[in-house]
Amino acid sequence: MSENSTVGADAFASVLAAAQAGASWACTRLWNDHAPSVAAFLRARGSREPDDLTSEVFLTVFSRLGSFTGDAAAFRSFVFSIAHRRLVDELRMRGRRGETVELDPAEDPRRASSAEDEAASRLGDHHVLAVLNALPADQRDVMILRIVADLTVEQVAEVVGKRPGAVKALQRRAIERLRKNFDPTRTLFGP
Amino acid sequence: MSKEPITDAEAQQLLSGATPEGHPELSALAASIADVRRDAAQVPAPQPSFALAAQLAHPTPGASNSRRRAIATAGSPIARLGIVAKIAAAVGVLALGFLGVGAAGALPGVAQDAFDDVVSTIVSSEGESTDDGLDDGTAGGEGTAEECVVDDGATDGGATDDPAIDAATESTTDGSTDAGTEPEACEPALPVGSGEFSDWVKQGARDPNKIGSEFGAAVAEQARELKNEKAEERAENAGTDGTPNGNVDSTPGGNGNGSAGSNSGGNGNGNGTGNGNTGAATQDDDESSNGNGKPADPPGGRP
Repeated sequence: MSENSTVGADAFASVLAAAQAGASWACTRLWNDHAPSVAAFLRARGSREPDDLTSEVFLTVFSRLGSFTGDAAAFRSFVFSIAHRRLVDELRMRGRRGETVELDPAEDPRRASSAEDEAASRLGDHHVLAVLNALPADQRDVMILRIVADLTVEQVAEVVGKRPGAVKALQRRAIERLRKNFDPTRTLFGP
Repeated sequence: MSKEPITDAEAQQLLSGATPEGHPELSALAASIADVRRDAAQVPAPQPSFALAAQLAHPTPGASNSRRRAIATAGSPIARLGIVAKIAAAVGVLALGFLGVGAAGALPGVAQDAFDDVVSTIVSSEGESTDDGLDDGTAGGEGTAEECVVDDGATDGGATDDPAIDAATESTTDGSTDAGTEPEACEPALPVGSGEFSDWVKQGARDPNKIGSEFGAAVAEQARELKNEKAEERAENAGTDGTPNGNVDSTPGGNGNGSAGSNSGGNGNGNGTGNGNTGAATQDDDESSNGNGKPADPPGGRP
């Protein structure tokens, strides 16, 4: 998930150039490098269909790839900026339509869970995420982008459209809240 | 537990999953954050959607977003329809296509006949007035001819003493004026005596959908007789020009017309009468009949 897991700076430039030229392998590589963190961010942030939304995010990414210029860090900010906007759209739309509970095949007990499902469920089971979700929206966005998406302060600032100083302030306030509210002895399903 | 606010550096350490120095109370939180980071890193790439898989397989460099959006919106309405709506839409399209082909007359023979029957049945009520209008249009000449003939018939009917009257009137200028007006007014609308007229009458008589088919047949028969008479008349006129033969000849014709329902016949016969002039007096046709009185008019008046 760190920068080391993605292609290096030089390699990224060549991959980006190939993707912009329409090389299938390059687009697939960008997807493989960034889709997991995007899906994890969307899932942690409460998306109902994180996988589908991730695909939509990358459709937008690839459609705008021709106009993108920058390095790997900028590209990561670019991807998460789109993901953040799409997530906000989904949450807003859900708020208008109201909460509905749809059949989720992944939750069918008759269905065998895959490694992907287990990894995703492990991510969702963390008590710290439950505590993060109790934070104010702007603090929650900053913390999840910092922890789950592994973005720097500058990248988060670009994604949420704030200055780095504002992001640092939000980050500090969120940690103070976690400091008060986080109880490691509690579990999601416990008392 | 330290109550001092953490610094940005300490926050950086904490968010990376490490316990900040001097804040042992944050060790549990740091450990949880480390677990979250580890699990998030292990989330595999999700399965791309169909659209994205297609995009990955065949990337379109420089494809504009608007273009893709246009393609997506073009396909999505149909794709979102339910199966029933899709079937209904397909049936509607097929029905419209069938109607279009049927209207164009491009269906196979039997199907086209059935289509025509259905259409004629459906439109019959409206078609009556339309047909009438059409008949009037076509037979507008007929109607006009009928008027002429009817008048002629009336005049003819009262033209028992035609010869005398004719003798007095045959030389009048009415004939010349009539020849220029009435016959021309009636002729274009009256294809009487011509092959086209008789064919038209035959077709009309054969059409079971037409009201008065028997009458139409009688008209056709009468028209044939008139045609023969016309031929004979021409032969006679060839020998005796300028004589009131026309009147004499036409008299029987006029009578026949009057009795024959007056239509087609009229035509010819109108000739008849010059007679009518005196009798009916009011009708223009009378004047035309006067024209007929002229030797040259009868032929013109009839056909």
